Amino acid sequence: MASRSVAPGAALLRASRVFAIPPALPRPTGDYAAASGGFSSDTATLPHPIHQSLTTFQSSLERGDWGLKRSLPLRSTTKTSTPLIKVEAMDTFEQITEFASAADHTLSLQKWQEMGIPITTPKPKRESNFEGTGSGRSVFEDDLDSTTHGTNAHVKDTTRWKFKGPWLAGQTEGEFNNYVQKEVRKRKTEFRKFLRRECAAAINKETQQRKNLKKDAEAEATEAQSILGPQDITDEQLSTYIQTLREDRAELFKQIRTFLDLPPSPVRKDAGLFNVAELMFSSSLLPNSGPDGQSEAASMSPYAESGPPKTHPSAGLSYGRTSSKLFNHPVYGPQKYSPPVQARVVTPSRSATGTLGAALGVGGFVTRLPASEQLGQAGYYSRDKAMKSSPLVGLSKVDPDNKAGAKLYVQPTRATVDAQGKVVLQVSLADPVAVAVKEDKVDELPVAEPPRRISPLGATRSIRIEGQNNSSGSLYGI
Amino acid sequence: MAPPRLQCLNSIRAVSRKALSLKATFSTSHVRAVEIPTTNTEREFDLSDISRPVGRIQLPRGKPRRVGRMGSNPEDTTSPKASSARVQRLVEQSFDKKKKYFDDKAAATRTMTEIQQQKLSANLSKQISRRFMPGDVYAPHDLSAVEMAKWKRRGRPMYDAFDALNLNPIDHYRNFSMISEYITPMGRIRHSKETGLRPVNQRRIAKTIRRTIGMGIMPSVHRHPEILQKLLTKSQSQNTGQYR
Repeated sequence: MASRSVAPGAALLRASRVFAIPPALPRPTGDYAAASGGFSSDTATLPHPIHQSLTTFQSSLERGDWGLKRSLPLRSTTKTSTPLIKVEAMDTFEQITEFASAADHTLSLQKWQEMGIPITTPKPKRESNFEGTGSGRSVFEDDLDSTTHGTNAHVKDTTRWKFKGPWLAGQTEGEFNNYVQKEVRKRKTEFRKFLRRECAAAINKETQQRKNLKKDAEAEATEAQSILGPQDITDEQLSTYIQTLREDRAELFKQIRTFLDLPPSPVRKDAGLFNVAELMFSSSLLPNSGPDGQSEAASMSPYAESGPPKTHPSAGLSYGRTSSKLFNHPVYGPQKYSPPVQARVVTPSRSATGTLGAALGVGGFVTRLPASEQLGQAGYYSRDKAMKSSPLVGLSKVDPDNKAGAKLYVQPTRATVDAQGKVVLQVSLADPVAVAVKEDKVDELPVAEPPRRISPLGATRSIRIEGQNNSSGSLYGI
Repeated sequence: MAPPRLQCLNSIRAVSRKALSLKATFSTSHVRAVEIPTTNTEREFDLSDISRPVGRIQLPRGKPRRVGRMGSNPEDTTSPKASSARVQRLVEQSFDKKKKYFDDKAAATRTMTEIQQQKLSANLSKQISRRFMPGDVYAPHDLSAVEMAKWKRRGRPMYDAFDALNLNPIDHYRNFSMISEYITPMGRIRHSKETGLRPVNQRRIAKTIRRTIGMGIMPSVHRHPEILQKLLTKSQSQNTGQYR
């Protein structure tokens, strides 16, 4: 709101969009493969939006009034079913406002919100016995969603997602050298001050421990003088402390990490069990390869392996904490699965670029195929000629007969936002009953067999494999 | 209608058909009428036109006798039973021949259409030049031909590779695999516009290439033969296509 003290013209300006539009985010650079002379397009939809998306009232739209510095041309803003723009430059040398359509990300967000998938923390690549607070938890859990040092400093420190320093594990050697030379070197005196403070704290702790052991009266008498401040530490004491730090690399790394506020680095979780020799070598020979021992193995951060996210780990896509909710169909009642989503096959596996396997587009977000065993069970890999009309054809190659493109019903399971700000969605194949409910073709489902009577000769006859019963609608309230 | 040149053939066909029926009239056998499958000249041949002659040829009643195989026995030839059997056999043979002909033709057209479909599908999938990665966001515009054409072109590197990896090109004068990336297939040093190196590193890599060639580690007129061989085998394996 504009304050009263300013002139009415200024108040109007301050309340207008000209001042409300935030500056654009830096353009996502993509990975190194794309940046080092790969194939790319400058007009492709970016993995995440960098401009604010604007819309306006119908009456204002017809006048070209978007609340900007000047009116926008009617021809390019009104002849669209999605009047959404992003302002790339409010004013240019040629005295025009640069704008483009923002329908791509706005509609993708809308589709995402319709799917209602909560964002979870990234899944570790290798599941191990020592699984931390990591996989499959909502990013809004209290112990994960923190940006500041809290009361419980250790837990908060390892699980927060925002850090001042860079993620060293994600840097190339050149970047790391650059960081050390440009950023770290300047802070040498500051680091010595920090160490002096830490030295005082260490000495105080040691005295405290000694006192606890002795527990006699004379220690209490000297209590007042035993608590040291940073100014009390002599250069002699500091150099001794630095020497002990050089011996104890784990402690040194902890100090450096705290000082530079570095995010936790990926740690081999199974090192303690299987790779004792490797751990020994890494601790003694390769100080840069990672911290040794307990202090880092205890890192509970879900972002240790993939790097801390750029934004809040939910990226503002979804604010739900869980996907455990029941879809209540108006006719068939509560359903086991939420309505499946139709996915488009954007790259068939046999296309020139599909060497990594087919890619699906779910609500504008590209994902990999569901697990292959699921597809195999559903008969997607069978070499039956009668399957020609099934999505199998569209999954492996472009089907020229299918004008609208190959599509496939999937069930979104989980989503994470990775360190580059990309939304990584995982899907499974949709349940046939859920698809039938969605398409309103429940009457075409195979009729469930009535339960057999238990034969008096043997109970084994009545036992049926659960998989056979999957298609029956009785479980789903049909 | 048949094309004009073939129309005159129709009259001949009618005459020949009549002659066939005349032959039947004067036949010594007791076959009264043999149904000749009428063919529609207006339509193309098609499998439904041919049907196996189901209506058994009328035979005079009598005690069934064994029919001589060769029919050389004059007694057998004169017997109505044997001659009708022979006619029957002939008709069946001609039917089988015809059926085989049309089966082959249909199979050929089927495989032809299949091949054409495959070609079309391969050509269409070549139009998908963008390698969609998980996490990409796309709008309808990204699936258009305009965008796909852009993904076919190789862009200029955005980073200096040697700076990113903290390498000095001059130290790697023996690594012809790496150096080959900085020369054209004809052995010329690539411009910094293409390599994306900063001036210092561009001068260093140029010096390295000149030194390597001078030492005789690499030919001056093309890439290293091992690299060429590798590229060749790669392109061959891509053409034969080992797809999943």
